[in-house]
Amino acid sequence: MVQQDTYEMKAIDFGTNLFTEEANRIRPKEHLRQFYTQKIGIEPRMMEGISVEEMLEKMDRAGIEIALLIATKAGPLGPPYTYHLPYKMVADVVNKYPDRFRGLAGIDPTEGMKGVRQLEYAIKSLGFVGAHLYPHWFGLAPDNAKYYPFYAKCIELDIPIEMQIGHCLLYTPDYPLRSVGRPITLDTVACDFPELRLIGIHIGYPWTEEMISVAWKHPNIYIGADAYAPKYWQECFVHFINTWGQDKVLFGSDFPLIEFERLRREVEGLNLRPEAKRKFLRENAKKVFKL
Amino acid sequence: MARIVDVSVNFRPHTEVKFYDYMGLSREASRPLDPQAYIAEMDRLGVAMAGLIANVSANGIGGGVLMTHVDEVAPVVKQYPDRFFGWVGINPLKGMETLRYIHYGVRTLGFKGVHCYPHWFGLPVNDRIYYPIYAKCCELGVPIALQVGTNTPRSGAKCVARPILLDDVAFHFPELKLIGLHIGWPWTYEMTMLARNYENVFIIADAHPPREWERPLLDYITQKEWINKDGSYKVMWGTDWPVQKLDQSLEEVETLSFPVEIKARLLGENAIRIMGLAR
Repeated sequence: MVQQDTYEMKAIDFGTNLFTEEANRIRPKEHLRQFYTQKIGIEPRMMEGISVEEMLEKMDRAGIEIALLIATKAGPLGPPYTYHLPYKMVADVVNKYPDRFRGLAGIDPTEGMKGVRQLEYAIKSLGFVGAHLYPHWFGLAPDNAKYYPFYAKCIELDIPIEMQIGHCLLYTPDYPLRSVGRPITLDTVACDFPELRLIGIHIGYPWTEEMISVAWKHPNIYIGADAYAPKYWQECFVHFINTWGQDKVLFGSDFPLIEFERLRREVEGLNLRPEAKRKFLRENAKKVFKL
Repeated sequence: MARIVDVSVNFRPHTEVKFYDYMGLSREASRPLDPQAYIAEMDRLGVAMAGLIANVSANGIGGGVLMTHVDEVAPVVKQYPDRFFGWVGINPLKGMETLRYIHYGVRTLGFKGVHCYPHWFGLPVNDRIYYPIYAKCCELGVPIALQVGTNTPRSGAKCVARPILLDDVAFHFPELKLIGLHIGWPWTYEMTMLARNYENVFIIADAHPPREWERPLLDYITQKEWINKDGSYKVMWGTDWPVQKLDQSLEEVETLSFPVEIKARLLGENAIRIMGLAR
């Protein structure tokens, strides 16, 4: 319990995966095992799942007050490698720990109007606070028409949408996913929807500067700093967080890709200015998600 | 006698466009619709209802938007609810404003459909900007009619809509009632092919004189083609007034000698069913 007070400034994590045994039964675990344990390098035991309570302890030790849990929609259902975490599974965890979690509704553009209605249900009835999208899983760049009804719905519901921007690291010859989400594709979306709050997550890696450029151009584009360990962040990105882009970047883990404690430790090691750090760790997320 | 519905009537012709010069039309004579005079004409010809379009176009691509607001049309629809229904004409380029406008026209004013002339706005009907509009029509449960035939001659616009482009839309929005305006001419066969392939694609046969309707349309309406099982239920007749006139258009339909039931569907029954008009 002592460790809970290690960090005075409490953080909000804009994107975390529920990695319980229950959730991992839905994920194509064998398919993902190599990716998680070898490419990413998480502890193999994590693949068996960790409880919500254990996750909360980790969050406590890292000074993370609130994490947004993703009800992931990874690809269209059907192929053996794709999966959707049910909104209800996430909602149950949020309802159990309402002070610690909020829900994010995954989007599958192939679901068309059914998906649009589900999104509306997740926000209005389940109390989710935003939408989440993995463009690579659908082979459609963020400016593809099929997403547009979802974007318009996000505006109507007054919620932001976060989406993976940058390359797609996940790869298997059996179900190859192309990298379709370059940061500049958000330029089109923001021009078409100036009211839409857009968060490009995973830093747009390896196109970090391109990500910064669109975030700087558009008042409604933000950057989610997750999935890559802070000690590897480019200098220009750290500088952006610390100075001219201090209102534009949100703190996140994409847990279990980055462990909470390591993440927090390395963020502390960036020696951000107090004001910039406060915005990065929590104020920007509060503003964008209207928490 | 089955009820006759003139499904497409432009409420206020936009005489600013150069088309009027080309056709030698009088701008003075092209006045906004006079409801009482039009009803008198409808009565004389046995027409039960007409669909009034709050029509929107532009003075050439990038030119000033020529807009008839739904609020101009609404009082007329409200005054004669048994004789007129409304179409929400849209400028597709206005993003969320367009969606809110559609919602207002349908939910608040009770208009029955959405109407768009894509050529004036320069983007094809399967462009991403239309997708939220299609989704909104699905949500509200109203059809959308799009001009997918040629653009208006000498109008400063270019042709961006062909019937085949609706294939994307019909496939992606199976619950959306999609209507091709102006027969899709000169791609009539392409238009009837789409209506045949998709349950949710329909045709409005307007803006062209029935005497010039081509064989693919006539065979589609009469279900003469071997694979055509429901064409007589999928085409709605209209004038696109002032482009065609009620009396002449109806006379010309008579000369086409359709079987009685098929003519009844074409002239009114289909519109009543597809547009959800009160019987």
